[in-house]
Amino acid sequence: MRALTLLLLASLTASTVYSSHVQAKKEQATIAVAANFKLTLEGLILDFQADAPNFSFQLVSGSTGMLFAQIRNGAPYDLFFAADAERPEQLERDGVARAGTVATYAVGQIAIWVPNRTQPWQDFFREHRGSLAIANPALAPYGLAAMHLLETGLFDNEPKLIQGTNVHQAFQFVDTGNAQAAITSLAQLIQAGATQSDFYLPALNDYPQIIQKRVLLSENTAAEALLIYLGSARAQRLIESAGYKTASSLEQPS
Amino acid sequence: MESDLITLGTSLKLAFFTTMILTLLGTPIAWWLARSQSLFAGLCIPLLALPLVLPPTVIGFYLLLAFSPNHLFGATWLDWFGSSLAFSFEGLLLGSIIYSLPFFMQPMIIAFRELPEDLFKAAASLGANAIDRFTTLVLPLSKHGFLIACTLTFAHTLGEFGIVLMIGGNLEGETRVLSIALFDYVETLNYERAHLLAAGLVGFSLITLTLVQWATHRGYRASSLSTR
Repeated sequence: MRALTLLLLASLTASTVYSSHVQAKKEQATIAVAANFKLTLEGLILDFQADAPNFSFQLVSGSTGMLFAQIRNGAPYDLFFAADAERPEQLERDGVARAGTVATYAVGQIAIWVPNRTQPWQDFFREHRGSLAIANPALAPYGLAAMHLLETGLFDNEPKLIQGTNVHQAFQFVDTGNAQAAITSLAQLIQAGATQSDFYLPALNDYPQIIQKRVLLSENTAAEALLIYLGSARAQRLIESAGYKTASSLEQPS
Repeated sequence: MESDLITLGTSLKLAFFTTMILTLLGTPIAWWLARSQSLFAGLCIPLLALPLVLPPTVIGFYLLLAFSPNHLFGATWLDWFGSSLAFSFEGLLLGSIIYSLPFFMQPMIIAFRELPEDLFKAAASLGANAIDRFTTLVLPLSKHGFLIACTLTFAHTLGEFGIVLMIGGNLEGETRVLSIALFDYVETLNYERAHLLAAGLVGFSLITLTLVQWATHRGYRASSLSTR
């Protein structure tokens, strides 16, 4: 019995020493990510870590504008996934980000979501007179794209526009029953498990492309390794299945 | 600039109506709560103070659910008035009244409790009815309480953010208030306009609090003089 306890103790000590040894070698990165891409990035990181358990990541999510302001004021992030192209480019111009590391990681798609729709889409667009929730066009690229889409004359009657801070709030306004329809992101609808027949995907050239870019902010092994993984065909497929287009999928439309 | 003026107008309108409705509805309730010894009144006081400690997001969340036509309150409202409370000025007003409730009630309850009971008995024995007693005794004696309660309510409503963000929908002239416009300016890096609104709010709040401080001080001096 005593021998067994001793053995147990010894193995416990050994494993603690071993794991602390591994811990010390763990490479860490803090990533600022636009709210719309957070869940997708979490999934990608899990997939990446399955093959590379030595890397660990801490995610900070928020609106692109807020994260941008934080980074400019010295927030200790290693990598920034923005919901637009401007902010990463601006950081690069300002010398806050590492030069030459700005690249497109995803292209957003907007979708019109109408749960409990009773009419065919054509009739819906012709007859809808109620509210339409969108993301604030001044804050969110998805909101701006929604405005452009509306300008193409999609709806016969101008809907009453309800603005949420981001696509998530636009979605939530409809989800709680306070608005009847929303223009949100396809990614949001996929995450929420919305029924496919409840949403309408407008043609990509009916609104300006929502190009989402990322940029490196520091020299960090974990962040750089993650970016290499994101360039892989496997990661690109995951991004596409989450509701985004990727630069490669836009070059050769399937 | 013109849109900022519209926003300022909405904020002032919201603060004004919130203060007015709370004064009309809150005063009799505060009077009753200040005098009543009942268990029910004892339970009401912490309930009324709840918005003080709850994050505005809790209230916003419940209001959003309540306003929804999927729920009883929202459905009944839609039936009676033909329009939903969500994303409307009336909805914001209701939210503000709930949110500012303690800022009106607490000073009023304290003010009413400090009124000398004997005075009312004396007035009643001289033939003054309830309305006379209220207008000639209660109102003048508790005017400092009213001043504090109203300024706090007004200022607190002007600074409201969380609830409006959740139930407002950012409609110009209807639900876009100063704090929301400020948030938008900061997010879009329009710091110049943000400074204008932020500094305005800081200045206004400082003046309000100074006035309240001054009124409270005078109130205490007046009451200590009268007891002498």
